Amino acid sequence: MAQKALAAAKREGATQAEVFAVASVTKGVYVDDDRIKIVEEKGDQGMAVRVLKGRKLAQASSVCKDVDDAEACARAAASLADRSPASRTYDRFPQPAKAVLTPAARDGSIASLDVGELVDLVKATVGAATDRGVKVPKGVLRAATTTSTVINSNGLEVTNHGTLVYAGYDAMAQGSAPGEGVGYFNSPWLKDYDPLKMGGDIARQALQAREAKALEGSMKVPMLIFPGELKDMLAYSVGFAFSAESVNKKRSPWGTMLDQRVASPKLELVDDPSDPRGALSAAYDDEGVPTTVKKVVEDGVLRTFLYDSYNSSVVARLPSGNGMRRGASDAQFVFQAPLGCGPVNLVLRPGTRSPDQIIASLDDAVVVEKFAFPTVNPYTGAFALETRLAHIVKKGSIEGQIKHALIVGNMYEGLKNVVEVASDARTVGEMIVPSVAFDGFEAVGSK
Amino acid sequence: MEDELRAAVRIMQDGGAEFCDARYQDSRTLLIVVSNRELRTMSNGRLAGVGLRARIGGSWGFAASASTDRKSIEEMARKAVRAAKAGDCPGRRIPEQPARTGSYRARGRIPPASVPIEEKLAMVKDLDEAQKISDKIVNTNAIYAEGLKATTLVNSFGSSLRWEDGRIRLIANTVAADGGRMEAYRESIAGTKGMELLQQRDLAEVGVSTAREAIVQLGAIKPPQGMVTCITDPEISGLLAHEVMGHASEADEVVKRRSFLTDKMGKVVANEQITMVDDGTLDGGYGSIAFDDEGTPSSRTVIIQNGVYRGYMQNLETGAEMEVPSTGNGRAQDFGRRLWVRMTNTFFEAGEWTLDEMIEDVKFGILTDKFVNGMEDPVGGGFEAKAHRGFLIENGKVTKPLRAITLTGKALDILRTTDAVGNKVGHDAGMCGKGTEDYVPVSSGGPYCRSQIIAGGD
Repeated sequence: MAQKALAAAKREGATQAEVFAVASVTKGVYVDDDRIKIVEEKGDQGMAVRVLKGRKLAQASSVCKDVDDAEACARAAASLADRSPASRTYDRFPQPAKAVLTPAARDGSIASLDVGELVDLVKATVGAATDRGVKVPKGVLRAATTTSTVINSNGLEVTNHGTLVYAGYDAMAQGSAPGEGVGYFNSPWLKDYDPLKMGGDIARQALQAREAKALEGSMKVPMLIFPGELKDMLAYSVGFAFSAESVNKKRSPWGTMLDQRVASPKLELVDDPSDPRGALSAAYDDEGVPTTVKKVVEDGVLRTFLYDSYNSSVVARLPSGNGMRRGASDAQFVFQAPLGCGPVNLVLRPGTRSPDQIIASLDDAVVVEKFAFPTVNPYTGAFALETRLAHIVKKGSIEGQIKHALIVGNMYEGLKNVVEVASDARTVGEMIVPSVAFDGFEAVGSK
Repeated sequence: MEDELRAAVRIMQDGGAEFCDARYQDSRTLLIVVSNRELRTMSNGRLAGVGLRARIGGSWGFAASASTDRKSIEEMARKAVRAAKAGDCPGRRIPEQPARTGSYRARGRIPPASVPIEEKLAMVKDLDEAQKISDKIVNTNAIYAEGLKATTLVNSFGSSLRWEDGRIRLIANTVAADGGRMEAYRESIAGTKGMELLQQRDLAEVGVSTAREAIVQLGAIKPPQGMVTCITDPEISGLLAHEVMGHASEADEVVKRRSFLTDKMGKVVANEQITMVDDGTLDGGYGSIAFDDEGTPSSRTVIIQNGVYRGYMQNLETGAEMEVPSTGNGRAQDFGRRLWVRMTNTFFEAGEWTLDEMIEDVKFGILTDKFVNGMEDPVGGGFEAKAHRGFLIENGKVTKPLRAITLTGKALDILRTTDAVGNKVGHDAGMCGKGTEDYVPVSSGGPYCRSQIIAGGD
């Protein structure tokens, strides 16, 4: 179908054409109040066709159940290109090139997975929580396979095979002031999903959140932030700052900082598409450009931006293999996703000590386990985030829990004031991130 | 397509489904983005396929595919039944409903699809160009999106319905920079009306004012921290309505006793000036729908009336559990994803105060402006609302612009402190996830409201 679409685009006058075709199968289980609520099996296939007529660019995407759909999609893209004003610089899609990295291994068991196996894993997760007196009002575990193929009129033709396992659970410790625990899991590997650990973690969180108190006053102490929360804070700040899309639009705060210090020397950020733990690790990006391992921030110094083919054309250089459509939590309808310019698998190099060892070395600190929604202002780095569960550390020991306090600070400044990077790196979305302790943030309570 | 869907329903019923439905959806979208005077995106999209639900006991089997031939749909129906049997959830039988039939077109006088793309592109280019009012403006963005979703639904009550939902949205987003500082501002126009919604507005003025406010923000100062007197603007009032009171009033949270509003019916939960509704019939509202994804007509649900808690939003299943009718709030992101109880247009109704009267009484406080995002907390009754910016109020006067502000606290504590409710309601469009997934278009809004809230920002 992809070849037919490419041919149709050429017939419609495309000087260049590209097809991103993807098929996925997703099996999932939802839990509702400790019971199996929904069991689902879903399949989809579709494509995104990009057409260039000279420098006039347009895209159409569609589900494709047959060749007619594929050709209609190509014609729609060609028709839109006729009406588009010309780009200043973009006139070609990527050229074919051999893979630099060996494709990361995928979980072969997922293709033949019986949905009953997911049901058993969900029941084990729920059991681990209910054994601790905590219920699970909602949750989901799903596993998916995706096959994405990119072909273009320059002769490029590549295929990525991916697997994706995602889980998200909410637990609730009942009482007059109930507590909530939240857990997420991302991986290409189903074997890495540990239902007993997930169930135990969300139960502990819920029980601790129930006992957590509102913070009175404010505290300016080191703050250790867990991977699940730190990932979003990084995505909204540095993920924005090192994307060439932001740089070319002149809205990146790091736009003029190449080869300058942007973070503590303790910090190293690498885009590593070869890492088998990465949810999206692959030998090619979603434009068919070979991916490479790139140190983005090395010893705190900004070493490169990340480029898709469009943004590389703006500055007359080659793309870096960072044109991405796939997402880390859902394999469904990927062809609909716009082409973005970002990391394939961003790894924050872990330190040597565990979070517990770091906590033991701190006199006064706050350990943030759960924010409401950890977003950061990408232009300024400013944030003020509500804690749903945080731990107060006194003389190296956790003394109690707080919630409904605001943690206030600036992420770009925080990256320059890293106390220590922990060793507990794990896959969270499209990143692999450990906990990190920062200086300079403030906890603000109600009085 | 109805014949294929009916066949699927028969197979699911024969397989033991106590209730089942079959949905075919065909959604078409157009997106145009212009940034810094260059076209960045010109794309259209089509998403079409079938979703089947079979309910046995209190569990559902769900199957979805883009394949629409009879054989594939029948196989999906058998899959859905098998999947439902793998569940173990107890539940009350959904009582028989009247069969609904008919065909309904999208609201809106000028269908967006009837307007040439060249005209839309010119509008987006003009909106982008208008933002370049100063050398301090480093990045201009104009975004136009339109969508039309046609749904055909057949269910085991004998319903056979077809309806359309159409939406348009136009956004201006400007980034300004000066002396190492960078700030942004945005404006948007959105609704379920046709192109007349945009043709009524002076879009050049929208672009200029967005840019002007981005420049104003370059001089903004750090907001105060801690408990303050806060006048929330319509967007942030709406965020409070939506994120806390709204999500916690979705009956699927209530039947699980996951909502802090469980058992609050008839109790005082807010100052008597507060009335809050969810209204899927609101004319032109971004969250307005003709029918929900179960084929129930949308409706207006009073959630809080003069401070007293009055009602939950329902779908067929939660209505059965609570022995009340569905309110038409069963919604799914698309045919391929599960259905939950979801909001439509959720807002506080108007009171009697003017904004000037509210400000006059404040010795020290803040006035918010525009939301960035928020997060629900149905379990704890807390909320987080991020405001794009604000203004300092000193001795009854607005004095200085403030950088981004986050508001938090316990919703019921805040609503009890609300001592002034404004006389005009504003609405703003957004996409709402249940947690972090399953996004549906909604609007939220309200008047200016004055309360005591914990604030912070850097």
